[in-house]
Amino acid sequence: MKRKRAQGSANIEVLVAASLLLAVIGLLSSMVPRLGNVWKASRNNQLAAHELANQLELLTAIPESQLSQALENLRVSTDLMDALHNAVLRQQLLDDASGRRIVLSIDWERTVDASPITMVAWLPSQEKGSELRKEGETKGTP
Amino acid sequence: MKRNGISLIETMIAVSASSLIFLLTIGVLHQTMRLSSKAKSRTDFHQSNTRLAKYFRDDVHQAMQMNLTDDGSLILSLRNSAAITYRMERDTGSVVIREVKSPSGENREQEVFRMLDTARCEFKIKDSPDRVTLELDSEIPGEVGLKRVEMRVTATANRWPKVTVQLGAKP
Repeated sequence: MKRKRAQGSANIEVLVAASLLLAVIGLLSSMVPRLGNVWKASRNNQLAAHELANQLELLTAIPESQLSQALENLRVSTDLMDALHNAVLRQQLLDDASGRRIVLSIDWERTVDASPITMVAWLPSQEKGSELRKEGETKGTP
Repeated sequence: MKRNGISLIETMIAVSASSLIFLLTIGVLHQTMRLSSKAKSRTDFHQSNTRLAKYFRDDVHQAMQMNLTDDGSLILSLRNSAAITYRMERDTGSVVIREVKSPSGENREQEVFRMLDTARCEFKIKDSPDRVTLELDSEIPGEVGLKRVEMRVTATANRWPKVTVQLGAKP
């Protein structure tokens, strides 16, 4: 006996199709704010990297005698305080086998856990054998 | 008795449901295309910024003298009498132009950095006469008067005066 083929689509088929479509739409919509956050984080990272480069440019240009004072007075630029909330600069002046160098890192309040951005600038070496280690931390607001 | 075909009410429900799904799909499609376009322009802007920051820092390091003009351009005079000018133009879209003029003044090279339409680029000499800052901001969409900091690059002129490079010299 030949079975008659069903014509059209059953309610259940329509419901499944609609549910799948809605799920895809919901998934895509939830990705929009995530994309926005990624963009914002990327822009902030770039700002922070430029800030470190600017600070190191100044620190590597000043005379040796003023370096310690300049490191202590280091502050995050006021322009960046809105973008990088509660930004903190950490500075280290190191002199060891890897050479004499300034290590600057910047960290700020972010929605996800992320490592601080760090940049290093090497300085002309002083007397051999003198191992110096100086560390500090400065908040953004003076 | 078995009914053939579909009733008016069933047709109406089917049409309404289809329309709703169709509208939702169109909305998502439109949003996706808008975001894609926005993401592309932001990517181009970021790439331009990175390129501009590198050129700017290198050029200022080589400059013997810096001048800010009334129209906001920055002119860097190099040791070999060449000059590099940075200026922002809005006539052909929002762009920052770097123009290198040879010592003879005849040859000119131009490099164009495409910006966002709402971007504003300024050059400022603040703390010290040999330090110049490139400030790049953009307006926040929908909020008049509020600006977003896009980039800050500070560089010192004549940064490596004692460094000389000998081509072909063995270490």
